[in-house]
Parts: sequence; structure tokens; C-alpha cells
Amino acid sequence: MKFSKFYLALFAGALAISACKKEKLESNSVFVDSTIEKNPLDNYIYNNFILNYNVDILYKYVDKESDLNYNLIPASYNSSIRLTKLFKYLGFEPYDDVTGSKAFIKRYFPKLINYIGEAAYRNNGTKVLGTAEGAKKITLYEVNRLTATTGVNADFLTDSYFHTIHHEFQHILNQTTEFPTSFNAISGNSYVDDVWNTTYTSTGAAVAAGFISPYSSSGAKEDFAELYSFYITLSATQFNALLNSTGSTAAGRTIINNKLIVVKNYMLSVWNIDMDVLRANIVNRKANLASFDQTTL
Amino acid sequence: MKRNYYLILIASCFLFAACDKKKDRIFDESPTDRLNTAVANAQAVLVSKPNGWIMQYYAGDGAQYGGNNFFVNFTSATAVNVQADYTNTNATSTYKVYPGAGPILSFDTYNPIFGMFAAPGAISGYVNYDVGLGGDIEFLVMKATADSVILKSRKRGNRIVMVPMPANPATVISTYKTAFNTYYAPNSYRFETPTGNIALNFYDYMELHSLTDTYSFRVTPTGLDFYQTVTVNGITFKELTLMPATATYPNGYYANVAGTLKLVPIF
Ligand SMILES: [Zn+2]
Repeated sequence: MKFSKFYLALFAGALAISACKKEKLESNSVFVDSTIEKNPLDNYIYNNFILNYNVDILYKYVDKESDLNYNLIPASYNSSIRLTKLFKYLGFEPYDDVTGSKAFIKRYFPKLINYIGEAAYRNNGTKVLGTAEGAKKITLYEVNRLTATTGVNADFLTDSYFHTIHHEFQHILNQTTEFPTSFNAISGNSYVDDVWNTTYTSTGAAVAAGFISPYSSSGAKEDFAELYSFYITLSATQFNALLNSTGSTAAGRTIINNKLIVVKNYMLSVWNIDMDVLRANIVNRKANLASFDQTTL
Repeated sequence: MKRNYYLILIASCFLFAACDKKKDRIFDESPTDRLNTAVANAQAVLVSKPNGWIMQYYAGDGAQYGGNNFFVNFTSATAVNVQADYTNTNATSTYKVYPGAGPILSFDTYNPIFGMFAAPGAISGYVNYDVGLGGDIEFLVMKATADSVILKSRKRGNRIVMVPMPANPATVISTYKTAFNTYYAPNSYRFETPTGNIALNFYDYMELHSLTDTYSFRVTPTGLDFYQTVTVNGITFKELTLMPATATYPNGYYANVAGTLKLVPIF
């Protein structure tokens, strides 16, 4: 309601300007917002995300915010409710707890989160699960896979959404304050760029080469974000299982652990975040998923 | 970003607000205003039909997959209920009309009835991995009046017409579904004309193919309505009428008005 009046006043004002300048309005001028009817999810997003974190969630399909190279379908209303509530629970609140306030997310998290119903599929058989554009926007795909069943499957939530979210967030922290160049030296020239998915076809093979995942081998920045995200979203048991995947080697694990120390130090010294405390918080939240209400707005 | 832009704009509005002598004249001429009016008009027309609309939906490049009848009822400024001839699903989702190259009608949260056509093939199981059936969820409103709404699908450019749903929508929808099921019951079809017969086959989405051509049409309660006029063995038609069974055609057939062309079901 407030918004519509605001826009209307603005529109009238804009016309006044054009009158003065004797210019026609450009087609990208301010338009009356036709979707003024707010539903419960709109209100939830406004009260919990915009007011608290200055972050907006586009759960309705917005053409200009979507990648037109792909055939995309919108997120469903019900899955959007679940993801929005879970986003706060598993995405934001762990940082609030560890840093002591909402200020950290409010200051550094991308201002726009975009939901898409299914993955963006390429004709070569691969698909896109998440993207980040600079520090401004994170797009999450496969939102419609989120149901009453998958919603309480902590591994599903991590693999499908939260690994991506924390990975992308790490990139943004790195853009604000770069991680030490000593990290780059550890794997040196063994990064393989675009051919990561053909160079390492299993986690074990990647670990043997000193990478926590095949994708980690694509470059130092990706490696850094992957190490961070895997570490904080997985329990110690799960992370160790990853390190000991079939095909892995002790030599590879040593390289990974050496890099992990740099990541931990960076988070602690630059951001005052102890990754083990953050991990404990997230793991605890995952363990309590069954009692978390993901449908009531 | 956007918010900052608005704030700057509103600040400059105050600076210029004193000068507004020719506001009214500019208001009449402003393309922005015209577009806003067109958006408001489209929105008003869409919600003006308590029984909703019959949407003649065609997917894919050149409308190659289709068509189908969607029964679309805009029940509020944001809610839309969608049914279709091909399914018993009845799903409510959201829509918006926003300004672009003209008013754009966007079905902006997931609706399974559009979803089957709009999803990548990896999800829908149709055609190829990335594009699938290539159905659109966004439409440029070319014309919106009380008796019809003409849309152009944004990615594929297909012409999609909406006409008002008559009284007793439940009965009408059931008639469409029966006609649809009758049409799709056979294994295939063939054209019969005085100069020869042409074998046909259902392809990916059960649209009809001959060796050289693809035929896109909707199944209506009276027969078949083609996406565009087609010519088969020199006989041109846009619609075919469902004819009752005869001794020669025990399963009935579809025919043009002159009776010179028959589309015969093969079981
Ligand atoms: Zn990355």
C-alpha cells in the first residue's frame, strides 16, 4: 500500500520534471507498480529480509533478472515459502549468532536473491544450480524440488542450496578483502580452469590431487570458496568422509588441510569468524530441522 | 540500486515541482503514460470475465507443439487459476501485467499446466535436454478487448488468442476434455483426398507429422482448429469438423466443409 502511493507520487513528480525540461519520458522511466497486492510471503520477505537485512527475494519470475540463454520456469509459491524460511534459518541466522548481530549479513550479503523453479540446462547435459553476479545478486535454481520431504533432508538442502549460498558469499567476502596470496601458492600451477569436470571425475580423484571437489581445481578463488563452504556446511564426520573418498590419498589430504588452515585464518583474522563455531551452529540447526516450521508465515 | 535511483529521482522531483505549467499536455502525450494506460487496460480486461478465458496455447518454434486449450481465470489482481484440456490438474498460481515493449502478461510463479511446456526437456521429458517443448510463460499483449485478447509469446513469437469462457465453465471444460481424449485415442491418422492419401504420425508432443510437414492445431468440441491455414494435396482449410461414424468409417473422421478432405483415425 505504502509502496503504491509512493510510486504514484513519484510518477507525478517525474512528469513535472519532464514538463520543465520539455522532454519526453524515456521508456525506462518510472512506471506505476501494478503488483501492489501483497500476499503473506511478500509481507514475510519485507518484514524479515528487507527490514532486517536489506536483502530482497524475487520469488516471482522477473524476466530481466533471469538468464535468457536458458529455458527457465518459475519457482512455485509453496516451495518459495520453504526456501525463504530456510534461507533465514540456515543461511543468515548462523552468521547472526556467530557475529552477534544482523549487521554482518546486512552489510555484505548480496542485496537480491532470485529463485528459479528448475535448473538451467545446457544442451551438453550439464546444468546450472546457482550463480552470483558480482556482489549484487544470487540466483538459486531447482527451488521446486523443495517439498515437505526434501525440506527435512539436511543433505539435500546442503547440496541443492546452502553449499552454493555459502560458496557465493565467500566470493563476496573475498572481493571486499582479498585472501592471502600464500593460498594460491599451495596448489600453484595445478589448477586446470575449464576442464575441471573432465580432469577429475570423482571426489576421490580430486582429493588425491589436493582439491576438496573437482570444481575446486578450476582456480584458486573457487578452491577457496569450496573449502570454506564444504567445511562449514558439513559435520566433521561428513567432511572426513569426503576427504577419505574412494581414490583419495594422504598426500592429497595434507594439501587440503594446509589450504584449510589459510581459509580458517582468513575468516578469523579478517572477519572475526571462527569457522568451527560457525560449523557447529549450522550442524546444530541441521540436526533440528524436523522441528523447524518451514511453512507458517 | 533501484531504490537509490528512486531516491535520487524523488529528490530531483522536489527541485522541479514548482515548474509545472504544461504538465497536462505532456501527460496526454507521454509514451510512459500511454504504456501505463495499456497495462492498466490489459489488467482490467483480464479480470473482467468471471468465467475466465479460453487460451489457445501453442508451444515451440513456429508453434510446432500444440495446440492446447488452457482455461485461465484471473481471479484477483495477482491470482490465476489454470486448467487445460490435456490434464485434470487444476492449479492456482500468480500472474502480473507489467510494462515492456507493451503490456506483458507474465505467469510468474510455477503453474504445472504451463510448466509441462515451459520446462527444460530434462524435466518434462520432451524433445531435448535444454529447451523441451519451448512453451512460453510470458506474453506481449497485442490487443485486449472484452471479446478477445491477442498475445504474442515472448521467446517463440507464437500468436496466442484468448476468448471469453462462456457460461457454465465446468461443462465447457469437460466438453473440451472429451474432444481432446477422442482425438488422441487412435494410434495415428491419415489424410484422405481425391488425389491420394497421406500417412501421418504423432511425434514428440503428439502433434501430427507427415513426411514433409507438421500440423499444429487445437482440438475443439466441434473438431480441429489449425494454428494457420494449411494446404494438403491442393485442398486448403483452417478447420476440420468431427463427423460421426459411418459404415466405411466406423470410428468417424474429421472433414473440411466441402467434404473433399478427411482426417481418418487409425486404431
Ligand atoms: Zn564460485
